[in-house]
Amino acid sequence: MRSLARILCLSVCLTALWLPGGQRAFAQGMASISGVVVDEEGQPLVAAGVLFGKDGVVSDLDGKFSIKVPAGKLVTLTFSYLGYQARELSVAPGTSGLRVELKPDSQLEAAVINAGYGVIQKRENLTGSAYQITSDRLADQPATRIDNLLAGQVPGLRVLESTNSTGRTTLNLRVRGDGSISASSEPLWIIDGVPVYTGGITGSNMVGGVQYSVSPLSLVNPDDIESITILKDASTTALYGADGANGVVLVTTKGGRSGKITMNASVKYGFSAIDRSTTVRRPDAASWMALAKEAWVNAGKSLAIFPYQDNEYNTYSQTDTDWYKVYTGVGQSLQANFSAHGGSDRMRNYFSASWYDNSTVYTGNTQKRFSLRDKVTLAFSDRLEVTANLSGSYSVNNIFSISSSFDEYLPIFSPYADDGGFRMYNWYSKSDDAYLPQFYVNTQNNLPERKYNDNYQNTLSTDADLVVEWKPWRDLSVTSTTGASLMNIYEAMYSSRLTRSGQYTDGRNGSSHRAGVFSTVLNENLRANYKHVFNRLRVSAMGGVEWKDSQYPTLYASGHGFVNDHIKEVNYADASTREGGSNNSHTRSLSYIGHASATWDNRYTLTLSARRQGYSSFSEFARWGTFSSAGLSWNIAREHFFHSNVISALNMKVSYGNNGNSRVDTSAAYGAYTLTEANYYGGQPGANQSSPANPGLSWEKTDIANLGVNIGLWKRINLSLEGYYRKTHDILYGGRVSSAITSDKVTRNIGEMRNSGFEFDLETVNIDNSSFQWRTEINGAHNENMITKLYKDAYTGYFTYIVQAGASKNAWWLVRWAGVDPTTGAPMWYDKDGNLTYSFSYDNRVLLPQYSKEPTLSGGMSNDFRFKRLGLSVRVMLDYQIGGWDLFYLVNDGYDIITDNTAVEALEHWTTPGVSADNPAFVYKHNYHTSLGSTRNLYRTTYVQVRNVSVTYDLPKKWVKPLHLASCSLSLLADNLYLWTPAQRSDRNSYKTLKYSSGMTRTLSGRISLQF
Amino acid sequence: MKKTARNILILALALLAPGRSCSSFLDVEQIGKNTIGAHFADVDGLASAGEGMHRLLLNFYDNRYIRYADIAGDLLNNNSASEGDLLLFNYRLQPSDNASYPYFVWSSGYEIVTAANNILYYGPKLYDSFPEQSKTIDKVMAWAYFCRALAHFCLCNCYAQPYCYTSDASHLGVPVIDWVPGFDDSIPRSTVREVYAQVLSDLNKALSLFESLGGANKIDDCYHVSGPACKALRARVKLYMQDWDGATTDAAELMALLPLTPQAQYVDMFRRSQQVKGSESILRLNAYSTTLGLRSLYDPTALYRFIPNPDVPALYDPGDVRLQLYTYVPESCEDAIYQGNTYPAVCKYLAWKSISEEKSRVSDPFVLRVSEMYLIHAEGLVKGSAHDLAGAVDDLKALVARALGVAVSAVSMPYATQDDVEQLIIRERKRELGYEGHSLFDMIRCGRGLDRPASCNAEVRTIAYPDHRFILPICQLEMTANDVMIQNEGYEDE
Repeated sequence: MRSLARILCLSVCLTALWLPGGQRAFAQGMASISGVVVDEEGQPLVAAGVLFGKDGVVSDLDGKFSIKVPAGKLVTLTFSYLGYQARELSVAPGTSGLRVELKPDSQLEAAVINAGYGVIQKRENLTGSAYQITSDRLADQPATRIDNLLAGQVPGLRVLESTNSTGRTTLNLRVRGDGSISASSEPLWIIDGVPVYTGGITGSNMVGGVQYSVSPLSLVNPDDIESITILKDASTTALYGADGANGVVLVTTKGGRSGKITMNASVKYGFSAIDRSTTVRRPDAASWMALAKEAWVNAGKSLAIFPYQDNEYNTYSQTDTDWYKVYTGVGQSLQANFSAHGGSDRMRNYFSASWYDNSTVYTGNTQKRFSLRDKVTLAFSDRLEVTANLSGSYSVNNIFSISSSFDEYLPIFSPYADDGGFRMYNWYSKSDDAYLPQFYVNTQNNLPERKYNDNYQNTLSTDADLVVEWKPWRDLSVTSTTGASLMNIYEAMYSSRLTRSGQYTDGRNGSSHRAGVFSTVLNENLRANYKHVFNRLRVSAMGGVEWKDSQYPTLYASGHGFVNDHIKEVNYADASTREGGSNNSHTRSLSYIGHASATWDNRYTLTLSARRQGYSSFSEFARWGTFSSAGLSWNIAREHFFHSNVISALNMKVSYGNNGNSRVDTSAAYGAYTLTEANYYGGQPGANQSSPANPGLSWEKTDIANLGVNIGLWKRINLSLEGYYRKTHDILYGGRVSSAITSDKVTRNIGEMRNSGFEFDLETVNIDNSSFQWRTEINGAHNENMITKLYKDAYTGYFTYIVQAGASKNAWWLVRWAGVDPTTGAPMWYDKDGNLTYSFSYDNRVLLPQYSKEPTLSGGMSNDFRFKRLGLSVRVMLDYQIGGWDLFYLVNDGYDIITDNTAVEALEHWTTPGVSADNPAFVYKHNYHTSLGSTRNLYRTTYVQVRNVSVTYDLPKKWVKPLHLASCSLSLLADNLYLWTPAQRSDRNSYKTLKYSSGMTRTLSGRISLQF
Repeated sequence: MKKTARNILILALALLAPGRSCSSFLDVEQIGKNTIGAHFADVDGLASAGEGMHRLLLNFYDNRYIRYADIAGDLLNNNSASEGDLLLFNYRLQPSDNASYPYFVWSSGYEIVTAANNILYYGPKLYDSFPEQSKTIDKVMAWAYFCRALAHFCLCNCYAQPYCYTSDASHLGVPVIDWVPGFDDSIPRSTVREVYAQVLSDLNKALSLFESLGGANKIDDCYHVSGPACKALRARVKLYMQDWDGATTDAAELMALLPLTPQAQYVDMFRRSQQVKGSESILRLNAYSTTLGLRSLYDPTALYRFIPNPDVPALYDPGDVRLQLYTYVPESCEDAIYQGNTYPAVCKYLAWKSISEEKSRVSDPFVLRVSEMYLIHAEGLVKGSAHDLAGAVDDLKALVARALGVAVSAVSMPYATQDDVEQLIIRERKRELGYEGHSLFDMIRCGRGLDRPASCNAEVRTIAYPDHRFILPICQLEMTANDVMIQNEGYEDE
């Protein structure tokens, strides 16, 4: 059908060439406009229509056209091609060398995938696994950080949100499971071709050199992003070699366009608050008091010596503090964006500026970000183009860190004294044997810290890329990409003399800590891209070399002992307490990259990629790694034998290859000697080996096989299915060698691990008529992890999990809970052999493959509704997880009820012999050992979360025109609207109340966007 | 055509540019991490490694070796021993005690070997670059030879049956490591004979280096390894090998070289050691600015773990200065609650609390001192070819005379047989060298076995020699990590 249309068009074109058009061409007052019409890959479109009013021409076999128009003012040309979106351009008569790119008119997702290094693949011929998100899918999401935008959007990509001990949220991204045991399993982030620093080498993904880690991914303005592509299989990631084994996230920022200047401005303002239905349910003060007294009595103690008795300083019976109200509140965020693009044939420009001001629901935590970007492309000639991409982002984070367990603080304590000031002491007894009250410091009150202490980070992040593209011949381009990514963090912390944290036993109060990070990543990529169409064979090839140099210098100074709280700088601290230090890590890598692909008749595609990379952290014996991949796709729908009115697209793909992970401590290969006071002898500086040389240490390597099929039905439904098998071998893991060599575990390339699974992505256009369109995309993924081999089959047991050959890294390793003895109320477990036991022992832990941290299925869903005539569009995005188990230490049956609040489950404990109960008898300081983990602490992690709902109304053109606006839209946005879990109950805890350690933050915002 | 040529030229240049990029691009100077190679790039680095090695020796003696030998010995009673110490005290250690003596003695002993091997590997590379500092290099190398010898010797004492266990010492010793091993190197156990051969060879190498430096008989500073220390250790090694005459010869040299610390300074030699180093000190470990583990093991004002066996004071004559080291009398600067009380305690590691500088308020553990040489000399005279009982008793009298503060002639020490003299030597070793890391080894090196007094509160009071429990099991971690490791007899089934 499509080829028939082409032939028709071509014949029209050929006929047109024969027309006696000369008369018009030489008419007076006429000028010509010439250029070329190309598709997204830059391939010429043959017989594309070029219209000026009713007159028109078609492009020739090279996609070139020339049309006559009246000389003088700007004219509007319309370019069209079957299956592609028509495009209107205002062009000055006399223009030559115009390059018009048409985009495929697909109702579904983007038709081409940008795999980086100038490698563009048509989606229908894609051999590997890549998923692309375009800017419109990012626009309505919260602007805090760009990694969080991906939650639920990409099949096989999980965004793991967790809260660390200081109450701060950390995010971990996993593409198709954990690829490593001890090295980082985070994907590699590349922004406009330059790798960015996103955190340290370990799994914790923390920013080094500062006390509080603020993700560098929170420094990027999401509004500047044109697309994010996630590369998952070997054929796409092998080009990235080192550190590509855990997937690659390619971020492409918006670029300039020629044509008149268009300006966009938007302002978004929102409120956020914690959804209290998602916070851990805990007893109120009265219930807590009853529980505590019961536990106290059950422990054989008299209520006469109960520690909390009303007195003139504390009226415990009257106090009921909701610690959420103390530490959280209503957050606000403001985001203002301005961007403009436009230009001429010779110069295209994109400029943006953005202001983001966010105060989170955790009072005292704010982020302010100002970012600027300018991307300008200068075409010196048809053959030489230079693009400068400059961006800077200045971010100020105020941090107030509270313990993630602040809601376990006793409700009978108040942070405020009766006079309204801070309550610094409470009067109670700490003795278990007598009532011996005295003043104890109110350690649960951090409000003075919030008020008086400073903890802020100023981060300046700048990226400067220069891309020079030179085309010596039409089919060949040589591109140099020089990138510098600099990040400069200044961290300033001051603990006031008035707060507990600023008070020292030596009486020298007030403490100051200053730290600086000066991270630089310099990257140079020089490559040649070739592409040519030989009749029905389309070939492309790329070869290049890449240098990367990363430095991460840090320094700090600290001291305490200040005369007052106003000077704060370390210089003025007591001289004897002042100390400082600096450090640096420096790595380099050098890579040779190559890629080739051939497509025959849009039916068969073969791609080959290879990267040979050397990395300075490894010793010279094991420095180089070679990573390669091959991919094959078959576009069945384009076969001559294939005729179907139902199946509009059908293709299959397979790929295989490998890549690596190099994120290890740089001392590992060379060993280290450390000069520290612990090695001093008699006051003389002494040094000892802190880690032995490990010259054989090398890359972790991952082999990845990927198989995919893509089916399109009625051009309305598209289903992609992919299965993969990743085997990581030479895993970097701490293994033991004879302690005669070193007593530490040494990082070695030992062990193997596999991740296998499948993903699906279903896109449908459910309804599409002139007035209404409804589209749905749903994706899901399943992954299974298995450690297949470890050095000497040794294992390492941690408290709740075990790294062991034959076990999943994600399986829990716990003692099995057997319930409560109804006669005595004592807890019971199963021992290793499955016998009932009344005593807890870690020796009874068993591996529980049926309880895995990994969900059976996880993914997301988005629904788009467009009421075309009303100009109204609605988008609802969900993410979900089915199955999986997580461990939460919620109840400990009264063990520490005197000092910490518990969960509401504690209210239902055993009381009466013969009556069965879920929880044992409630006893203070019991000897059950129920505080230690067992299967009782597991909760199923099935959930559905409404992540994002947006309602956008485009004002009718007739209203906005008088305002000299091109368009105007109003949006209402809601983030984290609702979290559902199957076991949720208002009087119980479930994953709904546990998923976020202090509740889900719900945000409601409004936005106005203008286009000029 | 011209354009094509130009393009080819530019292209060639562009693509050739990477040609300069050989692998040297990847040779990054690792600042911020002191790689082993970088640390040993100059003599200062080597010297600091020498100091670091002494520190490891201090850590090993303080936390492992002395307490191992004494808790397993016959002079202590449990007060509130920790779990691991109690297992040792009761002879119940198992290979699975990976967080206790079986592991820690091994790993911290071999840490010293590693430090020495690094020095011996990198040190010689510095002679060419720093010829003017060759004496310093020699000295640090000599330290390393000595430390490697001492560590192997101590490890062999802890993990292998004594030298005389088999007639030719062909039973299992510990791995001899005299190179910087890679992770894939095989680390098998050598025989005890091989270990001792290595120990003697290292001591002789150290000694010849000291000789070339003119320091064979000179102690500049008793806190560092010296020529005399090499001879003194050699005397002890030969004693353990039952090379009585050899031991006698070496010990005699030291006795001639250094006088015994006089009685007046005897207590302060232990309790004020930073100021009173003691004239008899051959090698002791400088604990300046550290928190000594032995102090907390014995300090009655802290959570002290062990006290002297109640029978110990009875070993001494009433006027013996050494007796003062078994009763703790709180000083006036201490808390009121202690005042007026006395406590039975091992005071050898309890520096006076009235010492003003906090960092100096430490007791430096002894590795070698001349009193031991008298005892080695005496034992050698009795058991060696000389069979000189009178000479041996004179050696013992010298120690007692010093302790009582009287002339040697005033000391009476009756004996009739060789056995009498041997018993006197055993008693004097307990009295003089008690709690200095000799106890267990003195019991087994001559095949005596454990014989604790009736007042001892351990589960086990007597164990006949030989017994597998007199040596430590190889810990399970080592057994798992090291394919060629062989467990000690008696511990295999654990």
